[in-house]
Amino acid sequence: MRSSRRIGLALFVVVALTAAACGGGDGDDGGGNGRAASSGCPVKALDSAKGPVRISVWHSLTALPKRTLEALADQYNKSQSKVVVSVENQGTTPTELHRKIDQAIPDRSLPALVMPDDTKTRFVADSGYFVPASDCFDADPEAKATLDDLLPIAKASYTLDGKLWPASFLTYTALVFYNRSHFQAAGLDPDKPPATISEMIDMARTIKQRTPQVSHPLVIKAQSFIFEWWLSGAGQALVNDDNGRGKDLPTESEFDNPTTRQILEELKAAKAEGILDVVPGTEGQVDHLLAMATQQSSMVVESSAATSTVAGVIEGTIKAEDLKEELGVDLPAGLKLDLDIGVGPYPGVKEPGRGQVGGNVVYISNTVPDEQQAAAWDFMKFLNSKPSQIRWGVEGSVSPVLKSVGSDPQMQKAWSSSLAGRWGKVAYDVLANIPTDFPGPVIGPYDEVRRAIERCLDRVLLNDEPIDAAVKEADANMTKALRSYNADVGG
Amino acid sequence: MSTAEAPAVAAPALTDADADSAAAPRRRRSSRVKEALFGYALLVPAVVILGVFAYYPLYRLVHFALYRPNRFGRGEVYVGPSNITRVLGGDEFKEGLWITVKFLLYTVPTGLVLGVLLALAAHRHLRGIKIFQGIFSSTVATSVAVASVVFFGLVNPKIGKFGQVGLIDLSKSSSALRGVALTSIWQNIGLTFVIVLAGLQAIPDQLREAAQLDGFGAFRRLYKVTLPLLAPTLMFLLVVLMIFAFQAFAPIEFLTQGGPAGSTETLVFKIFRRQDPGSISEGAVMALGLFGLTFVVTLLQLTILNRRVHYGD
Amino acid sequence: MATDAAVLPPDVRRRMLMGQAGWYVLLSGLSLLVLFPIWMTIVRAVSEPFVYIERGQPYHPVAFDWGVFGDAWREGNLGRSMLLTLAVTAIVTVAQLVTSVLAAYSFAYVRFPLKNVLFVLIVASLLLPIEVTLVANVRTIRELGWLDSVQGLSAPFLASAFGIFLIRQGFLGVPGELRDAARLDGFGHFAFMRRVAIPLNRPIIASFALITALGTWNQYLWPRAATTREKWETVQVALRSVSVQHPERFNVGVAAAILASLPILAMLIFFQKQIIRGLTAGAVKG
Repeated sequence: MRSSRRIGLALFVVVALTAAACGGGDGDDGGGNGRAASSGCPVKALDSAKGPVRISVWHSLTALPKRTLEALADQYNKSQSKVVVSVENQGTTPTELHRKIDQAIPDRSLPALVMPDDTKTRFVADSGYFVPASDCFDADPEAKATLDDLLPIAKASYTLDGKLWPASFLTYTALVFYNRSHFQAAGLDPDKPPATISEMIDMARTIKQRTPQVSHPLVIKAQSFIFEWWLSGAGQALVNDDNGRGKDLPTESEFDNPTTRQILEELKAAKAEGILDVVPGTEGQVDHLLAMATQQSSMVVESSAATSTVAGVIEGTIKAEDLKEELGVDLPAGLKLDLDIGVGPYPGVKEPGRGQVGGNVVYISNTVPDEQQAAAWDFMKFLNSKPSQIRWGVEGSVSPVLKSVGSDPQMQKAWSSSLAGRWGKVAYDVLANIPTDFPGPVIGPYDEVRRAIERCLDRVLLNDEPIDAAVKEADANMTKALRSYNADVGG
Repeated sequence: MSTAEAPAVAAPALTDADADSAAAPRRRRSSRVKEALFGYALLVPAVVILGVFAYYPLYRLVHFALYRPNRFGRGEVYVGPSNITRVLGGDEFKEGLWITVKFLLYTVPTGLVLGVLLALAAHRHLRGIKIFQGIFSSTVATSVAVASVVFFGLVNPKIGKFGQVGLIDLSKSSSALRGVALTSIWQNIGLTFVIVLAGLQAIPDQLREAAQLDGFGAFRRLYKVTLPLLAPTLMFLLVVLMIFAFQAFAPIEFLTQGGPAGSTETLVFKIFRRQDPGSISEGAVMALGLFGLTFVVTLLQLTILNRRVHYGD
Repeated sequence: MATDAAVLPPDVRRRMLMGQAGWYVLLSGLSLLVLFPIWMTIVRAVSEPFVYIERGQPYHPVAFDWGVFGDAWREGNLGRSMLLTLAVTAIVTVAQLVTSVLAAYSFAYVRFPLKNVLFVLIVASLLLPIEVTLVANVRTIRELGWLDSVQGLSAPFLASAFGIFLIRQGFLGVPGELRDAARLDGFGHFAFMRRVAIPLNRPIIASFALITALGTWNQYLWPRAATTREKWETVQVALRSVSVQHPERFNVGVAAAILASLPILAMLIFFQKQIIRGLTAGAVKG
């Protein structure tokens, strides 16, 4: 038994290794050369379709935005009979959705529409498997008006190589949420939110001194986007080649720069002082919001996506049953959280609020039959229509991305009619006024870059490690990711 | 009777295993061949499944380790053995390995001790002992997912009942793994108890009684009689618990998603996160590393087990 | 050691009863290790989360909300996922039984060359568990188009090296006289298998089936990796969806976990002996 056992083991190891090594270049799966299945945007294909065309949308939305998307898809399906849209949740975090998209690329099993983070744009453009929206706008003159109606920052951000890539948008920006009663109790003006990082830290110090029961007045979730937006808000590029918007693909990270180090030093010092609480940046982590809810903290920076939920809960305008169903929060009827929260534009590094545009965008895949692409475009037009945009704004706490919607009386009325609305207006105003000279980086391997940045944040802010090593590591990893990506594009 | 039994496949009759009959050599050879084919035929389903889903993946893993797929599906790039050495020597793998080993160190010794403790306590004649035995073994009914949900409620830093206990704080890299390990430790109680109890029950009562008659106190009985006789069972349990530790995945996904700062990213977790074309090459190398680790550990244990069982202590 | 306590002198009897009481105390204390998390889970399931946290997370339920089980059932789509998991479990269990019995029989009773080598190869496959082969198997399933399907969920587990090992052991234990007698009666292999080998090994085969069913129902990693759409989630994966999507509403998550455990608990209660036999197979000689 013993000798045949050895023979057996040796056999399979040898066979496995030889087979694997010799099996060189037998190619991967059906992707092959992977150039676009079709080019241009076949908007007319829907007219010749027999019977309803079924398409699906992959997303990773949760709670209210998810409900709104489902409601809109439902409304669209009921309003016409040529297209049936099915909404598919592909994970509870954007990263999961991105991984699913990545995995579907080689065998081209993409659906007609995907709704990832807007950071996927470079990847989408380079893959050759998606239709740039500008092609559709060109082929469908009626829809041209939408293109001109887009917020300048959205157009600037999402235009690559002269083409606008996403066909629809769920825009957010970031805000600072602060507890006005804490401000008041500490002698700070409750109508003046912090405008820079230093101000946030100073105010936190004041609050801690005057009202020590607030254990960590400033709380931050160690998310990459917060850091990225501080950098781009200060005019600091994340990668070379004009922050990725130049002629070629970026090849070097510029993460290791004075602004990065300055921000990290300030935050590290604040944490050491005991006035800053740092929460891990893992997706789905809501401890920083809970810290605000339990009044252990007074200020937090977060995406504007949170506005309607937070506001509704505070005002009590969100009914208990709605919360139960839509958010999964159980409040006995009539209970309100006793918080007085205000919002302000995203604090900058050296100067006040300069957020970025962020959120989800929708891409049309060209690996599905022409009629599905046309159907997808039709659905996009529906989502971009004013009524839908208003619905997004009112129900999904999304900021309108069309100027005409921003100035529409109905939208204005919705904004002024509730706390969530007023906050939504703050977010929109920020977006509408972001200068378009520095719209943020364009990076192919964005998720890897984000991971590198978050690892750096974790090391410095959670593990209290020295800044130098952490920044250098992130910088090196980012450059490696960029180069590997470029090799794949070239190949 | 036998005609009614004739199966669709021409199964040869039971051959005489050690016959050295004087039948004609040709007939013997052809019936041997038929029997061999029959034997292989019976194996085909299992061999095919194991071949496709255990061995073929091994080949593919080696292939992915040597050829990195293009993330856009445009073929693949040869990265060669240097890729393997680079990943295995790299920070990510070493981190994953260390975390997996730590997880093992947290769960295996405690598992063994708890199992022995509970089994010794419940291996006696008392009224209602079966109830206690039932309670101790109940965690075999829990899945990793259920156990993770149970412990989420106990150790989550913000909403867990014991979320603030320093030793198992999930929000600090230094302690998060312990909190996660608690899930496995608790879940393993049932299985370890059942196994050790079976081992205890296999020890003949006369041995213990004899020891008692010889004046051995309870503790001496334990050391000199019970534990040595339990050794094979404990070795088996050791292997089982180590394998469980290598497989740890669900508690991490539920409780920490690998955080904070990657301090709970076991090897399996890292591999799971590397399925997309851009990172599958790395994932494959790590999987091969895990394979190597399992291989070495199993081999070690088999040698120890063989030696101890055969030559005593 | 059932000594009749009444026969002993009073002080010895008292000591013995106190000893027994001591054991009961110890055993109850140890039971807490197992029961405490379960109790707290039940408490958290039936209490309303906000109120529960507000009251400092007591050790007893507050603000009972029995509707949580219905909510968990609906939100986690437990009906569908349980059905799906049941289907997969049934397929895998039957398949493993069939493939293992056939292969084990072959190893035990049929002569053919390279038998030992093949056996070693099969047992060696235990070194290639799903954790190691994951990324490759997911790719294979993808290429076969079996992602999000019953076949994709079951395929890698249709055979079991452990099962082959176990059942072969059992078959080898069948006394030689029975084989001789069967041969004399003119039994072919299948007849012998059906009428002698399998019936004699029914206990171990049944235990193996139960262990396989238990393991398949409780499986997490593979179903998680082999499915992308919500409606193809098995029960265990659904638990994650329910907990992750509403972390602050943890009562639903734990209620779902309780519901997911019930079938297995039922199995454990009814088939306790066989399951334990299956779990301990290999641990104890003979």
